[in-house]
Amino acid sequence: MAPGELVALLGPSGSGKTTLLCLIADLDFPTSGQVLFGGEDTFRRHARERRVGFVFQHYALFRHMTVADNIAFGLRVKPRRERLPETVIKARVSELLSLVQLDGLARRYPAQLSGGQRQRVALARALAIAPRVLLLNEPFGALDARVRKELRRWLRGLHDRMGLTSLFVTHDQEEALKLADRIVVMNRGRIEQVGAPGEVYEHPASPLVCEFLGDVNRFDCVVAGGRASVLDSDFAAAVTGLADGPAVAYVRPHDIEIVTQRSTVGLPAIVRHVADAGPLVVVELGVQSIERPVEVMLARHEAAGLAMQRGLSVFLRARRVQLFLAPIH
Amino acid sequence: MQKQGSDEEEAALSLGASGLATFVRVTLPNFRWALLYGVLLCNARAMGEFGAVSVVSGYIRGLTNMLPLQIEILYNEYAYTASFAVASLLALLAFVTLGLKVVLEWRWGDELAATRR
Repeated sequence: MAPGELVALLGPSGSGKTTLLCLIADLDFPTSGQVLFGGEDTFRRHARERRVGFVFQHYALFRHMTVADNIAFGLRVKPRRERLPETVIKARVSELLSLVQLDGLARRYPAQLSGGQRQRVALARALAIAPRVLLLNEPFGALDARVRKELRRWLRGLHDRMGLTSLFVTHDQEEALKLADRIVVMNRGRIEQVGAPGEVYEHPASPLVCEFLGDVNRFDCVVAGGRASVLDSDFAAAVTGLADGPAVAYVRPHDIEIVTQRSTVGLPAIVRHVADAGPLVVVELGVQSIERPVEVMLARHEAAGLAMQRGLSVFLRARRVQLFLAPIH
Repeated sequence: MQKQGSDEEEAALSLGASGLATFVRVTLPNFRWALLYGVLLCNARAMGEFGAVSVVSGYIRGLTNMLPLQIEILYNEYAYTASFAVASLLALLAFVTLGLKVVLEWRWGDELAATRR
């Protein structure tokens, strides 16, 4: 990780993201391998010396201490030599409370705060020790959707303003895509791909990454003579370097075109369901040769222009596909 | 302690607290009332033990004696006044323990229940 980056560790449950985070925070120990901070191996150092701030999924606030005492904790447990005078600590706490927009709540206890407020206290507490790296374990997992969105935006703003280096774990791909500078996709203890959100979305390195990030349609196809036909559209498999044989094609819902008249290419389909989901319209279609319904996303004006409705007969074309080797069963 | 989990202790460690500091500042305050409650109940039990203790302790006067056994000794030696006096003392101590337990429950009952997540 480079200084100032906001990196997301993304993956399904059990992929090892939290374990990795705990290894970096010295809350768990590796059986092999190293964690290097600025090129240094911190294995023998105490957690205090690593200066890593950790924000837990369920906040882990000290329930018998006030908000102010919670935030000041990291500063008060420093060894006598390094400890700041009490007045300085109090001033620091005030500053942090303002930063997380919780002024006036210094004397409250965690039990008296809402989920969003508690998470902000947890963040202030982690920031109090001026960490080199901020680690967040599914920080917004326990909050409702609206608060989650607000805090997400706020965290990004805070990260940028303070010039932090942060690593957060999430299983919510939308969160990772919207928030991070780089995404690390993990599965079963391995890293599948590392890249900027656009990169990982547009050029997934494996079927898992493709399926995990955003919605996608999956079609079985065959590569013959270096080319594959998906949704009656022809694609060069030579680009991905696939050998001839059975393959799997992934097509994003917005990479499928719906046309009412077949020009040169187009697979016939029937509209099964139209879901008006705010800014986008999700259309579900049935195709004769394909078992599962095909999902297509259109912008509102496009859907209106095509007069999408149930039972309509249309033709489908694919604009862009991701081809992978068919899995061996 | 098991029910409370170790999240808070992990948080304390990640903030740079030593093991001792974590125990004193985080763990102990979280279960202090439960600890006191346990000590009180144990005390009540210890005061009332008789049969098993009399066999195991060897019943040596002045060395491995305790109040319930002492009452029996006095009674068997026909020192009725003394034995009743000690018995009353023991009963009084039992009431004090009971009283403390009630006060603890009344005053900190919510905390005791709340710390049980």
